[in-house]
Amino acid sequence: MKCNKFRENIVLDLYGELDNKEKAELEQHISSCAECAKDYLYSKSVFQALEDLETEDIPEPAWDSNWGKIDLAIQDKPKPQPLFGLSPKWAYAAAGVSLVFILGIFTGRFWFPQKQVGPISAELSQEHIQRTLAQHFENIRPVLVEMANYTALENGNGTVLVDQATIKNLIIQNILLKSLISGKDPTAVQILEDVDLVLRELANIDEGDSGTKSMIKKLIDDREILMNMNILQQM
Amino acid sequence: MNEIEIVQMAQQGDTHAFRQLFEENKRRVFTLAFQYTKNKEDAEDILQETFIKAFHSLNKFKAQDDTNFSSWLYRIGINASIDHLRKNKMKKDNYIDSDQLPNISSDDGFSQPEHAIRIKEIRTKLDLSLSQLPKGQRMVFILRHYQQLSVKEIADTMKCSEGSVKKQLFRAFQMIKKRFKSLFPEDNYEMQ
Repeated sequence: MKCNKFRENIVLDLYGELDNKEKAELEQHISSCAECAKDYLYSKSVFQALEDLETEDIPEPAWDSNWGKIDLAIQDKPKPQPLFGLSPKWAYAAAGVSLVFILGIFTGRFWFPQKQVGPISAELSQEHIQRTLAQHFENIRPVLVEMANYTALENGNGTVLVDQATIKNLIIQNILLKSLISGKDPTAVQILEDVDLVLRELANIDEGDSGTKSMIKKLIDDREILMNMNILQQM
Repeated sequence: MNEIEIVQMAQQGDTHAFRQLFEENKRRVFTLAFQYTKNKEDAEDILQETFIKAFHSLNKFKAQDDTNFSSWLYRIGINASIDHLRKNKMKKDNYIDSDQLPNISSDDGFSQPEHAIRIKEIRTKLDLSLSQLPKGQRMVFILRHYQQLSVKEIADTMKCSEGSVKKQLFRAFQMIKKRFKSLFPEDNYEMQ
């Protein structure tokens, strides 16, 4: 280490800013360097002289007068200048409302898209379509399974219980989904068209119409709707 | 009521709470300002500037583990001191001219002990040295020597590295040493 660095360390040593290793190196250097040793003694004398000055009197200002001027200045603006011109509480509230509003816009765009046909499909990812389709199949599967297992009884009644409101909701869901994936996935569209036939028949069925129920069962089997749904979901 | 609670009240615009903060911190800020400017009126201006600025910036203050209100205020005081001197650097009365130095050796008609005369001489030399230091070096020296902040604390307060603080402290001390050569002839410090 050069003398220049030790000269700096001499000052830092006087102020107690050296660690043990640095201090030992400095002492070793001073013992072998006359110039640095001289500088060390001189620096120490100056430092000591400065230490003796520490009892300098600090004048006593007129505290009340000073506070009066401060008070006058801050009275012009009674409250600390908050961020965005609002108190923190209101700033947080405003930020919260804005966040909800922004989220509402994005959510609305997602759930209630303005463009219902054609181009909307271009905005949706394949992954999103697959997820939505899978969910729709899960909703519809119990109805199809029940119809596929239909067994006509002698008195004309069967084992199928049809909730018309549920069927209507499934039809609407099916139509929307079909328009959503139109042109994107022909296999899925074909399945949805088959499902559509089944659902429309179910929507118009009478309680004792065993013939129609059997026909629906045959339709599900012939078009292999359940199997195709499973295949598509596993792709 | 602790400091944080008082600060929170002041942040809501409670000037009584802010007055309490003034009372608890005024002396430290004024002392620093006086040591930096060596002028009572300037130090009072800095005191006022510091608290007015602090009041208008209160909502920026966030109590953290390593930052209490006093440290935060102190930092404003340091910046206000440096700014004040910068604004007033052309004012001649902020500087001590060598020609204005009292003639220590002359007989002023009062009987003073030799030690007291020497102390006065050292103080005058020191004030002259400090007045001629760059503002940053001057502040580092005052914070370390008078306010007894560690190098790390100064670095934290002045938002710079410890290495930079050490360099500035060294340079300030070197300047003072040069000024003191007439008082402490270096020839007297030869190794035995």
